Amino acid sequence: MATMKAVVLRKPFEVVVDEVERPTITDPADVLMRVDLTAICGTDLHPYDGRIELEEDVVLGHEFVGTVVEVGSAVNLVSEGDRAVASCVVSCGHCRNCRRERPGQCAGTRIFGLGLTFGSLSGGQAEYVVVPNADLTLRKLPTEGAGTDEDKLFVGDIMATGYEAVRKAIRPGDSVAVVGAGPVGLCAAMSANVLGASRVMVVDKVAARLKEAEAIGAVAIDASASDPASAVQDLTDWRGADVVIDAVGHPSALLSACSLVASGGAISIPGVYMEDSIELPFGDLYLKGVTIHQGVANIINYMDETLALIAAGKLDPSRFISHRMPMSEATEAYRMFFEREATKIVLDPTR
Amino acid sequence: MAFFADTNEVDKYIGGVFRAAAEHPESGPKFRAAGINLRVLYTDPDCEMWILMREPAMEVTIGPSDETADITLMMRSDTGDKYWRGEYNLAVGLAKGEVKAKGPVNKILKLVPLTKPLFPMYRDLVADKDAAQA
Repeated sequence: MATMKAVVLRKPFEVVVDEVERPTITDPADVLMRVDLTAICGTDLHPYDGRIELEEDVVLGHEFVGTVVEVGSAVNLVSEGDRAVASCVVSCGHCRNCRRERPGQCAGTRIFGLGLTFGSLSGGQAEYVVVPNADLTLRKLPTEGAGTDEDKLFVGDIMATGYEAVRKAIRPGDSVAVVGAGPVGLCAAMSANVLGASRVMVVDKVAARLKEAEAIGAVAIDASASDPASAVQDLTDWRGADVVIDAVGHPSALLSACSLVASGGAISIPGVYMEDSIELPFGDLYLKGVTIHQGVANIINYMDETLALIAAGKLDPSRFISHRMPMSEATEAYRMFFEREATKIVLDPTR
Repeated sequence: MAFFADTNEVDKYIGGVFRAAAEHPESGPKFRAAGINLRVLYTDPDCEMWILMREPAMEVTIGPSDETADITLMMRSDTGDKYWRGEYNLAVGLAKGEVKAKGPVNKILKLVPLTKPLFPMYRDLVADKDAAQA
């Protein structure tokens, strides 16, 4: 039995780097990849802190770039030796929602590193990973133009997620407010600039994150020092933001988003919610005619666009990386990320 | 040929693993705390199974019930057998339409990880039937 090193979640708050069985191709549409770079995502914190309950001993991780080392007999678009990035969400490509260009709502949605609940895909925080439906899930890394592997790594999740959140709600010239300056929020703010926002505002309480938002041209609003709704009103001629992005995934953030949005505007929610129900100011939303976009991100719909914009030098999400660490230090990396001591951590599986 | 001969066997083995789950030291309290009424419609052989996950005791019954289901699943009995052996990918099954589900998705997602520790228990349950068929 071939083995590999991998980041394993034994149980909530217990992450170890262990020697586990190397996954193998089991379907003709599968590809086996050697992982070159992998990252810890905010979604990884859901099983880490137990908000999403997984079975024991799950190999974590769904953001990775790698090199193809073996291809199944039905794979046509990548070959051995190709370097590629995978969508964190694997869809079937055939069901009704896939045919309606809603792969995030695929009847058989699978997500790497989230256990039996999401299709038993071993995660990408490992030396090797099997990618199902590879022709659909993978994109070869462009070799020309701007952008590093670290930029392209994020096309499989946070970059495409933040981009989609804005892309499906914005009109050129709109004002955009982002609640939460975590990695997805910052990617959304960066996308808003590219997609034609007239003004981008970012709300958070963490000084370092607000500074990063300012560095990409957004107006930083410190929610610990001022009322975000009032600040956004002041910046938008008392209208509110045309598009509000909830990049947090907590009821308090959604309530905040409701208070920021303009009449006729839209709230777009890339943040993850698992609550049975949430109380919202629905009369206000109704009277303002607010459109709400949400749901598991349709990553594969936006990978080509974001890769092209990275190659064009218009998106550079690697700037949000705060820490680069060996995968052998994943236990500490998870602690730091959970404690918000890091904005974004990239792990090197070879160390 | 279907693995289970009749409704009674579906009840004995798949119903059996749910009943065993109720007694499982880790999974039992979690199933009861879920507060979910699960209805599973197995076909070939047909079997309507109700799993009432609630305190103080989880109940597993066969046949129609006056309860209201939070989640209803429909699948072949053989699919249920493969799932409990740990040999069936539910996500792929849903994509292929081999498994159909009604009810809040977040509740379904909360139930799935509770089942994995029970796979060895199910394999033990069907070991006698496997041996008889070998």
